[in-house]
Amino acid sequence: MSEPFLERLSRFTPDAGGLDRDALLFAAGRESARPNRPWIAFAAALAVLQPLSLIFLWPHPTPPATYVHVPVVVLPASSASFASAMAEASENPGIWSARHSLLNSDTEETFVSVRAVTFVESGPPLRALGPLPPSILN
Amino acid sequence: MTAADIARLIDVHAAPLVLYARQWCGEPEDVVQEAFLKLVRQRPPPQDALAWLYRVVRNGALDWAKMARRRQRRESAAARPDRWFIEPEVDGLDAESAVAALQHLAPEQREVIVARHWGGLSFEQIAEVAACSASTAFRRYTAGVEELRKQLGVSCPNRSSNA
Repeated sequence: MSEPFLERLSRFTPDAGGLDRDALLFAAGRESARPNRPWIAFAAALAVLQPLSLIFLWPHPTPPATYVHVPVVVLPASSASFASAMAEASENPGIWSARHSLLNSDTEETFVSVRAVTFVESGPPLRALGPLPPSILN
Repeated sequence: MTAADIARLIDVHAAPLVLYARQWCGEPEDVVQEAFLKLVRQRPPPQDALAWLYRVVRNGALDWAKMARRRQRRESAAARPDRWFIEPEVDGLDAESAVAALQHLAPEQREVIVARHWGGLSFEQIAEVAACSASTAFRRYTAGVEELRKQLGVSCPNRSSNA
């Protein structure tokens, strides 16, 4: 294979004048960059969310604050039902009679006012380390 | 494959590849450029990048030739004159004669000679590119050299050394 004729033939340089080396390298560089699809999808989602969030978070005009005068009704401290309940309770003292009279009455003020009724007689407070009351000892 | 590898391949093998593609098509630069771009896109890169490039260039050039045949031949042949080699002559051997002798070869012989002499491919690589056995590639090569010798009027100094 080392004939002079073949060596001479091999010394001819192929002409690639039509091939632009720089353009080819540039194109090869572009082709080598693979598209990063997750990032493209993420960027697209963000781009879509941007106007949506702008719409949803846009400050809506609030109506001006107005002061409304609410009439306050002052009820009388005592009423007829409360008086009757108290009368029954005084005739039949005890928790059950008071409860019965309270359930029969339907006004709210009665509930509020009945809190003043004494259901348990006040006595000396029980103390853990103190002496026992004589009523328990007997 | 790094950018430096691609640049080195282009620098060393682009011109022989153009010559290789020129056997079949009129726009070998486009075919070679497309082959390099395919090589860059290839994942994973081929084991033997050079043989792979020659195969892709061969297929691309043959495809181009098929498409060109569909078009009117005069249109495809028009454009610029084909210049195969840069030097007008080397040691008394003028380029026109060399090109004429190469063009006179059978395509399969010319393919092997171009790939062997200007591409620097081994017969095994040529066999892979041309889809034949290495021995067939060698037979084509020797027959092509013999034909070239006839065309260029060169006598064989030692006939037995070629076999």
